[in-house]
Amino acid sequence: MFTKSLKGTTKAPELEMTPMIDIVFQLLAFFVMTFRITALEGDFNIQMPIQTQAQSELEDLDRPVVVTLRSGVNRRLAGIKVDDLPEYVGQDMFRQLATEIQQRAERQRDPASDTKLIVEFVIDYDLRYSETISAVTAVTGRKLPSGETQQLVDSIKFRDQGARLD
Amino acid sequence: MKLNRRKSEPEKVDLTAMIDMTFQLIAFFMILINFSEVDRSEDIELPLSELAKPPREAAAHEMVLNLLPDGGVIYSSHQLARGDLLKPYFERKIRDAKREGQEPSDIRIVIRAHEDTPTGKVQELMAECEKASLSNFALRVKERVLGTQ
Repeated sequence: MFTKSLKGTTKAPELEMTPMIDIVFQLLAFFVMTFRITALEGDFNIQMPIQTQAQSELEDLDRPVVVTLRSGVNRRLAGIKVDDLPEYVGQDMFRQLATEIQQRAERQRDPASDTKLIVEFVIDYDLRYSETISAVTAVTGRKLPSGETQQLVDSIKFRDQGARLD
Repeated sequence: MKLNRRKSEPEKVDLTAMIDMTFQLIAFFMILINFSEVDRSEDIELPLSELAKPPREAAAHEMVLNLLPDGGVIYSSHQLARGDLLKPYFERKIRDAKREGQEPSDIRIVIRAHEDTPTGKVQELMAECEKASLSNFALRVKERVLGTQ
């Protein structure tokens, strides 16, 4: 709004900035205080079919790769078994597991074959969840030098609930 | 000697630059604020994985279950001692999904389990979900930054 003086000169209107600046600074303080830097989170998809077909009824090609995780001292991973192969133990077991799954994935990459690579985990009840995730990571895929992820398996399943292995 | 006294006027400070800057800061924080964090429990230390990637698209119906090492579950600020106490929440979620023409299997169950949790407890929680016909699971992990343990 302009006011015209009697002499005909105009004055610039004066806006009261103080309340706006107050509000703006309060907003800024709110966002600064609620701001948190958190690491990215991602998901592993797990299929848990309600009804599972008996292992004996499945054909060889459809049969999932059974990975057994055994718990040891302090609920740490003591050994990994893939189907009937000898158990992997020691510090190298995740790499051995990844290599085995990779070889099977390459065998199934035959274009004529429409079979899917399914991994089924049988896990000791007490095993630390972080160890399970490390094993799931090892079978899921691998990071390529380009930074992309190469997917190795089509599906991951958990067999029943918390089988206690002896 | 006669001094010429002028009326002193308050000095005007140009606030334009400061206001511009402040609005830019507000815009920055508003864009970065993540309201999805309300589902995350501070008590949960997620396991790490280098293959962790945020989901490409959010599921239409999702339940984020925070699982503590003792088997307790935190769901949407409700702290429950056991997984079986989730039944009424499952039923409500399934009703909501069906109202929108979706099946229980379309509901994504995101499990945020603490890294020390016995895996059996995770599987027990999954079994509780399965009892309610919920079978679409996602195990949530934290991205392992290269060079960290």
